[in-house]
Amino acid sequence: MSYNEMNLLLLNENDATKVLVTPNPEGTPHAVFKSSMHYDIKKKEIVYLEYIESSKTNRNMVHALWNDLIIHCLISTKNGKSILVEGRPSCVIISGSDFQYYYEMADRIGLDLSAVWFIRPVSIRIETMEVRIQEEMNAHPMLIHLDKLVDCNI
Amino acid sequence: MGQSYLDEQFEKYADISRFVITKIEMQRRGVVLTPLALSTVDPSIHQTKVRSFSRENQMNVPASLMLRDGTSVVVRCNENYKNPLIVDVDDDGDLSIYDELHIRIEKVFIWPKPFYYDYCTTKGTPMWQIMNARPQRLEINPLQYCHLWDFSNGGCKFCSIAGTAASVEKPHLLDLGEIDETLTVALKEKGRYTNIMLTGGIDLSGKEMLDNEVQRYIDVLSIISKHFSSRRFPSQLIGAAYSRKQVKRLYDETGLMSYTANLEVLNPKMFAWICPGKKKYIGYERWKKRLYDAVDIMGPGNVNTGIVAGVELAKPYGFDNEDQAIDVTLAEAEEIMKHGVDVVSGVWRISDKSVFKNQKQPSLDYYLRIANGLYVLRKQNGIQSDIDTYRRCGNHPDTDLQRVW
Repeated sequence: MSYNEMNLLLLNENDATKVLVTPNPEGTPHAVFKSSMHYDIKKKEIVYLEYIESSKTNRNMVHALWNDLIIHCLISTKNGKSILVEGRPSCVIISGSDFQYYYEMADRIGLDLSAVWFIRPVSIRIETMEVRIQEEMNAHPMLIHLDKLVDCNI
Repeated sequence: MGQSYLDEQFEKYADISRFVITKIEMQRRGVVLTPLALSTVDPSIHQTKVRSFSRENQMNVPASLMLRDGTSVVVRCNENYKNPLIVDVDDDGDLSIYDELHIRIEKVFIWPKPFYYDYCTTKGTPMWQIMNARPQRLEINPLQYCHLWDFSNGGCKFCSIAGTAASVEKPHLLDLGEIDETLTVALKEKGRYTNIMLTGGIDLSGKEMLDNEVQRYIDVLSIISKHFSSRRFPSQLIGAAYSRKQVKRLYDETGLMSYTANLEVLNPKMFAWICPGKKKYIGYERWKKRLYDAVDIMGPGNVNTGIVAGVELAKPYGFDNEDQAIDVTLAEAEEIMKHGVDVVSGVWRISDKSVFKNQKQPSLDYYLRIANGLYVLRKQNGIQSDIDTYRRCGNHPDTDLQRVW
């Protein structure tokens, strides 16, 4: 399993907060929580379940698929880990055995399912605060408040 | 490697989804699966058999195909096409569509086999012969013949219903009990259907013209409604242009939610030539008036009319050129939409079972301009309709475009 893939498994943590950000046809981003988002290890793609046919997200995803655009998935876990995934919608299914599998899953919690979206990850950026701070200190050592460097023993 | 005609169209129409462009071209030119592609067709999971009022297929070819954006491409595979696109197995082992330069265009998927296809009715009829299906729609054709063909020069010249009925041994009328049994099994397949569509041939008979056709649909809809707990259910009836009284009966006595009466071609002279029976018994202007009246009963967004785009260019009496045909068609579509009736187009499939079997297809450019034109008009006139979307029908490039509206 590659380093990138290990990070994508954060999507499968039960208590993770997951946000899907899609651009509308004018380019304005639209952000929604998508708790159904998860990483399919076998297909190597992110999957999310769209419950509402006419949602802005669904329309934006179609727009992104048609135009091969980038969308973003932001994931944050309870223990402070966070990643930002750039991806492209690769496929949407509305019938067939895979759709039926997810349909029955949604049905068990009383929801209708419009579509199942698949997203191909393009890049992953670690957004975990500790990692980002260290990256910043390494890349920009001058961008720090002086009082943070003061020797308290003097 | 050179640029294919399709690549040129993708560039020229960069603001139109290449999936919609691909779909139109697949329908316009037809598709043929290579022997290798055919070897991947598995009737245990793929939909192959089809019986409807205008089609019969029992060969091991896909009933139809889908694209990876969920679009259905209603196309008959491996028929006698002059210049088809090719479906072959790609480097990933999946099916893809290729152009004339063998450049891969897009992945394609075969429609999944409906659950009820494995069953027979208590009378022994295979259930696939009672109902047809698309990925998300059930179709019932109670009358598998059109009585306009009883009259000399009565049928629509692009239509293959009479030719299909003549070439297949099948009952013209479906049995209500068998419809009921098939529906019971079909609805067990969770997540498969979002709509039931009823259509068939025209039956002019009755105390008032078309009364028997209306009664037949009421009988079928009554059977269907017993399966649902709600008063109304997602449904579409594609019938003749009924009188206000007949539409009111359908609305009041059944759970029907939408109504379609296809004008086929948006010009009275073309209508008279191409659809002589419809012209003789109902007439172009009366057809339109009945559509407008239907909006009062069924509600806005629940009435539409379909056109066979391209048929207005048929020779010798069709329009002289594509520009003229587009201008006239879209102007008339706008007029109809102003009355709250949606206009949807389908790509003309030149059937060898039709009077127009030797006609020539218009260009891809023509279909794109019609599809985009209708989509723009729909937006401008505020027509929001869920009837014939990519999911509920899948045969209309113009409604595919509204997925991003």
